[in-house]
Amino acid sequence: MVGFRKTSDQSRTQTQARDNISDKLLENLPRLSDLLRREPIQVEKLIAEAIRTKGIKNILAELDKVLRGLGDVALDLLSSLAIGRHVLIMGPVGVGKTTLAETIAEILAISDPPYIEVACHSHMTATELTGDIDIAVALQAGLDHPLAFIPGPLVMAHGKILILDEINRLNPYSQAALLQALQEHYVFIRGFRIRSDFIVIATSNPAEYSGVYELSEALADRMKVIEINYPDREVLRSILEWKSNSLLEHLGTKVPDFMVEVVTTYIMLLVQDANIEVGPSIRSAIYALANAMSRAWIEGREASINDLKVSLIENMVSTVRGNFSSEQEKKDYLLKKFDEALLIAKKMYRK
Amino acid sequence: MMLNEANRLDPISLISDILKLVYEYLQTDTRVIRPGSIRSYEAAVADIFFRLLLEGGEVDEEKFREIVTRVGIQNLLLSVETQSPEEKRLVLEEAFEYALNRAMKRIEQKIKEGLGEPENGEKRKGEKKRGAPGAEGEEREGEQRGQGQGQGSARRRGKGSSLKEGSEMSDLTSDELVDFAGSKMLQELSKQGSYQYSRRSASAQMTGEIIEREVEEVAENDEVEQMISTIYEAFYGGIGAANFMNLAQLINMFVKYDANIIKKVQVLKKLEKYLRSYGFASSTYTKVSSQERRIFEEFRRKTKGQSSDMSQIKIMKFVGSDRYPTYVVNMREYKFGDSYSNIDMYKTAINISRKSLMGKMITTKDIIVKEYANVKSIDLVLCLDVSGSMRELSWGTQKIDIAKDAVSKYVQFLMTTNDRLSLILFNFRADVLWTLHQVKRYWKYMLYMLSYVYAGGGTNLAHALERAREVLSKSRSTAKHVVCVTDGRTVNAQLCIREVTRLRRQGATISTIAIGENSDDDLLMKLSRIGGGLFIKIINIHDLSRALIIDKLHFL
Ligand SMILES: Nc1ncnc2c1ncn2[C@@H]1O[C@H](COP(=O)(O)OP(=O)(O)O)[C@@H](O)[C@H]1O
Ligand SMILES: [Mg+2]
Repeated sequence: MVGFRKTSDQSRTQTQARDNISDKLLENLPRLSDLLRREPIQVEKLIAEAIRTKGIKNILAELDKVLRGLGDVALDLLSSLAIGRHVLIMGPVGVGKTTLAETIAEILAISDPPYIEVACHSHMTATELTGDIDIAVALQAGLDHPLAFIPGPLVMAHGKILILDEINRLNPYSQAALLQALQEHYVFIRGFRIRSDFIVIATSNPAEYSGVYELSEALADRMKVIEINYPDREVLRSILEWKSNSLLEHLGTKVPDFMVEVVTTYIMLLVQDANIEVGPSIRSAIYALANAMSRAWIEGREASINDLKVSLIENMVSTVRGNFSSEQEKKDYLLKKFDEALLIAKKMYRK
Repeated sequence: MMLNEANRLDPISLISDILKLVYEYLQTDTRVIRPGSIRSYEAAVADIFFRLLLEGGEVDEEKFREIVTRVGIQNLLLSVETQSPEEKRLVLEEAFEYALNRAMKRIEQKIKEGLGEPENGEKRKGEKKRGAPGAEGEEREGEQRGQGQGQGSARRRGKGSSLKEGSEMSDLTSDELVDFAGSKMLQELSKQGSYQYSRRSASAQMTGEIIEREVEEVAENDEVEQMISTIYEAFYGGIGAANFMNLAQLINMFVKYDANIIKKVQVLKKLEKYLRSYGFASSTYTKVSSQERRIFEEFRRKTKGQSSDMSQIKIMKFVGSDRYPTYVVNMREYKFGDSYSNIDMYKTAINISRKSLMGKMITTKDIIVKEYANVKSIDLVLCLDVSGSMRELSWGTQKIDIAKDAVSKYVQFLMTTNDRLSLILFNFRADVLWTLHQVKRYWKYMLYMLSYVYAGGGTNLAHALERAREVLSKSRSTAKHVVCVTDGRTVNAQLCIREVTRLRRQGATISTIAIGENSDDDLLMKLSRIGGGLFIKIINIHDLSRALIIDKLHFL
């Protein structure tokens, strides 16, 4: 009897504690009435202020810890953020678009969290961007219950940087919702008007990729385009060396310089190749190098050039696109190019 | 020529100048379909300026050219359209090269004109020094001296604006810079520019003014384009969403909400073809509508007997008769030559139905005509619901079309009076389609605008009432009346009551007309009671025109 009561007491205090915690969590959620009272924020001023206090040199130095060779691009990005111009970063897969957007937003840290990110996809609805009222909750607990209104990223981004990753996947309906928020600085949800000021950094692949929508003219007109391309040879080399080795750090192995040289040459070859429309990504090259090494490490032997060849093709065949009639043809072509790259690299390395 | 000198004249003017030349170039180039929107040019100027500042002073002419070209193209790329997308970048590069060359040449000339011979000598010395590292400070001094002689005290602030001075410069102007960064309009920019720099150089100020003027020209050229993009946005942004833009809102993006109706009609005329291409205006509106009218009148005649349409209008009065604006002085039977709009529909209809029930002939005696004393004029504001529910069909016609028809009858009815009428459209927000205008004089414009009204979006009556108050606040008439027509439930019911109370305090009366089963009758009735007007309930929207006129002649 006593024991029973005790446990019930215990469980009661437990539920109470849980209630307290969930109450606290709820307190942190925005209420509709709060959202409706929002004041305008001049995000570009916050950014200009952040650039001024941090200093360009420090910002670039911090960026260099994550990305190499993108200093100029970063300045182009910062200058447009500081005047309130939305930016579209365009470039092939894996050249650091997303990372650049996130890192710059993190460094500027104009808000907490420093940015809101949306991974755009083609089935995204406008309400996924704006948020909506949960009718069931609203009916039971009232419109102003913290759970009655689920704010979407367009609402959450007030006073922040909004990163729209792969904006080219956004369908026209969601584009329209975005456009309205940019244009009117208000998000409309079931007749409620919520202030939202934010600056967009969008990323996009060039149009030759499949499964993409055109940006609506009106939306495009509000954006400046910054293009990122493959880094030049030396920068690429240092990126590959640095990143692949940091992946291998915990295994205690290191990528031989020669392998880095081969992969660098290989990528430069493919990027310049007229038969290839979409070149390999830097990311896939990094992983190809690390994969080759870890494969050998598992088998307890030294990595060979052949390991590298296999791993390069494995990692890249799916992303590379070009004038090929079949997957096999593409694969053969890539293999042939590898042998070429190997020859060139050998010559270069000897020098 | 040295770039420093150039920038010292006025960096923003210089950049605006370059972009103006780019625009010119693109405008004349046959490969270009669209030279880009003013917005992107504005952004380009500000962006280039800021980007140069970020460079921190290490800008020589080559770097300057490179940054202007690159950042400029970044800003224009998505806005400019060329015949083939592949050559867009090339065309833009050419345009910038042309513009930079021209602008630089102008500056060289300006400097030659501005500086006398002896300084050129000194300047050349400075240039030589530049080659040697560590000579910076000295050189700067030398330059300053040169300026002092050339432009006198007017150039004292020159140091602060030179890009060459770099980091020092960012310190000096960073406050200005942050402020500056916020302003997006090029006009504002060049104004700021000429303000900031005018004290230094008269010629720079002049360029500033020239640019301002030129920018205005560009803006004018761009108006049409802006219009297109706005419409595009309006409808693109609206598909199936609660934020659908109504006609009034759309028009008011181009003119002030209280602009003269003729101005608004002009805007609408420009918008017309786009509206049509988006399917919001049928090109043969009048024809269709008169046909429709005939058909539905036929319909009504046939169904009237069975469903006894008459009983479907319910009226509740909350009227202090002295306050309620009306001006009918007499009622009499119909005489040949009477305008049909003077017919008392309600009374006449009762007479006719009574006669037909009794199987008697109908005579002119049964047609009752009102006589008006056109002495007093009333300021009327009609708030019309154009939410999505108005798109529903009623007897095979969209409710909105019937409502438009009713309002046009109302306008025709008001033509015989001295009244002024304003029409407010509301869906999720309300906008003034036209402000108070005398119907007698402007009815043609009113009917024209009315014909383009379309429906879509949510319902926000409170906003409409707020707008009505705005409109009536400018009225000095003693009789002010607001009529709200809605078929649904509004958001912000509480706010509606507050708005009506305010309107009432302003001396206006408020009537409400509720259509159909879904209307929030309790609220509307409350509003009428507070507003001291009528509450009219009609089940069938076809009775709207009658309801409007009943409201006008409430004493029945
Ligand atoms: N310039 C670079 N410097 C350093 N790492 C890079 C660079 N470019 C790409 N990477 C590497 O490639 C990865 C993929 O970058 P990501 O931002 O996802 O590319 P994207 O968004 O363009 O597809 C990054 O995590 C980074 O490790
Ligand atoms: Mg990415």
